[in-house]
Amino acid sequence: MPLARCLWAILSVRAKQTLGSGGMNHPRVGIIGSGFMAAVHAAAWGATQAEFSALLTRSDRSVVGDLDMFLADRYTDLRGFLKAIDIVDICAPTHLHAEFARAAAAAGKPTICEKPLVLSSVEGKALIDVFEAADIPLFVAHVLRFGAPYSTLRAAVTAGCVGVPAVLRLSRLSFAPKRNAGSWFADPAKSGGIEFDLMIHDLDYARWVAGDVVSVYSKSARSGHGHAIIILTHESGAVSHIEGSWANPAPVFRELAEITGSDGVIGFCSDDTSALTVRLHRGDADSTTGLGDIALAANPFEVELRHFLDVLDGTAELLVTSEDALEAVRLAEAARESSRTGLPVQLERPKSI
Amino acid sequence: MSRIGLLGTADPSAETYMRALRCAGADVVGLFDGDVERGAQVGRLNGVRVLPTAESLLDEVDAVLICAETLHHRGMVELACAAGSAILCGGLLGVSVADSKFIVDLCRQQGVALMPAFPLRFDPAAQRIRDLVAIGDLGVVCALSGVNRSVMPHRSPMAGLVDRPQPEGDTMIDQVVHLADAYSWILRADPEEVYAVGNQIVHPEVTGLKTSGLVIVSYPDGVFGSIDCSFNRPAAYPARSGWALSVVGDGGTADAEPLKQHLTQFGAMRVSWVPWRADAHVLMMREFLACVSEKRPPCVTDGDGVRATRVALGARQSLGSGVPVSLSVR
Repeated sequence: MPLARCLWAILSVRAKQTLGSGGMNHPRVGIIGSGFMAAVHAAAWGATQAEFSALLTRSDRSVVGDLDMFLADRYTDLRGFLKAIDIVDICAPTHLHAEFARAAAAAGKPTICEKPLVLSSVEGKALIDVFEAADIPLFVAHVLRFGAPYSTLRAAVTAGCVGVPAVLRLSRLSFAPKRNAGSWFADPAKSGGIEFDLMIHDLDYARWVAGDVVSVYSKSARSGHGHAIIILTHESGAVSHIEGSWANPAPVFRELAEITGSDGVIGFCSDDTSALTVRLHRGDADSTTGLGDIALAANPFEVELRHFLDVLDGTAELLVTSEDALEAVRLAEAARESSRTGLPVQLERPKSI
Repeated sequence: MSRIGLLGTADPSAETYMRALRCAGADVVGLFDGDVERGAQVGRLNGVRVLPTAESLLDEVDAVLICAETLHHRGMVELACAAGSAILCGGLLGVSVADSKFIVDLCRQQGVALMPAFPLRFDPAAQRIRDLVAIGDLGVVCALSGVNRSVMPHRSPMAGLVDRPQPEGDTMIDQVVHLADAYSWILRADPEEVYAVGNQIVHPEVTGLKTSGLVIVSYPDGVFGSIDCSFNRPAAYPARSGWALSVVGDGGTADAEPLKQHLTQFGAMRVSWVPWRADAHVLMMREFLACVSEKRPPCVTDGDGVRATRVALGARQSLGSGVPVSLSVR
């Protein structure tokens, strides 16, 4: 059994074991999309009280891979799909997010959308206005905020353990996700390239820790698989060095975060934080996308999905607001513009949305 | 045994340089510092004789190490050239490109060897990275990133950097030269443009000195390299200073971080690193001493010094203006 499939199986078994005994309700979740993130979300839903009950794909013949094992009903008709569920989980290719999100809002369904929300801040603003006007919850799944090292790091900094943040160094160094040549992912107009797809995690995180950004300067490699460095200047005066890479051979996936403040330094490097190391003579190299070491601390995808259920229950406030998601889009957009023009991009204060 | 003198002690690396010179087999004859009090203290702490004038020191030595404030480099170089003494120069060459070129031209006219002090080049990990690039194992290089950070050079008596900020501004930016030199050395390319941001959130008590800085240098064909040149390591950091650099190419990536070569010592109150890495400072001094005794030009050239100085000066300018500064040589 390939490693990835094995992982889903373990997660779903564990999920059934830990399912609450008759929670208040068991909302039905419909996932849109059949790619890598859809499978990750499907497994994570298993650990919640919600039920992944419907899957929307482009056609009956869409290859759904590991999603088969979850036994969700298959739909190809959006309207029928929306009627059959309580929560929409958009894991479709990025360039299709807005279209599906609008349909979900029109149907009055609380919506989770994979990051990035969209690929343009104008489109993003219009989209979150739709959700706001309809008073429908929208949660953009910036999963980094739910990962144990990152949430712990932010909590420590917020608690003042290094004083006032001065420099944030955030790196996400991976291999290029393996996709077919014709895949949406290979087309920056559809995926947004490395700034939108990979670095938006750390752009959002930098802003979560050090606040709004006034200036963005970025350089993106012209050759190779993808590599960029973005420098942010925050309103507070703090500066961030954000590095994203698809230039490594598989299965490299490294996360580095270091925050220097007026009173000290705190951070981690994923090279040193693996709680379990396995070395097999028989290798399984079937991973197509770097995901990091998610299973041994609380799985951040499970945490984020449970969080949204808590928000819908009224027991939690959204940790990633629509405005946060829109700001992350603005930062990635500014980075791409800066890479193109060679000049820093000054950001205006977000108009009170 | 080569006799070496020290002109000025403002450079935070001055003590490291002196120790490395001795390890490399030199006789550190004495020092002169325009700041008499500081010079006396450094002399006492390091067991070095203090001479009353630069000229009297130059009478006794084969070569000098210039660790004065950058502003005084030119004057020191003029004296060393007059005495025919080879020069190892720390930090930036001059306070401007014109000043740096004057220094280079003068040394060339006088036939005096001028070697910029870039110890990073002598580190085995850095050399391995350069070899990997040269033989093509990393493919076409598209990006570099690096840090060269230290604790605030608060220590007495070398407080010149902190208590009396130099007229040319942010001395933190001086740390840029080492990685700027390394990047051009690895890429075999000249820098085209530089952008820098910074703040003074760490050590706000020091007047008018930025203590954290991030720099991006651009090279031909869209290649870029970032440099973190901050003075922001906390006092309890297990190393006073250190550098690391990464190279990204379409053939793979490589990281060099000599600081990793340490033992970890856990005490009652703090964690310390006990280094066992090859000492690049000593290796650099061996090259300098060999140049002096063999009367040959150094492998790190005066032109390398001007090039790195140009990046640091551009970074300082960008720090003030908020826009990238062109470094193209017209």
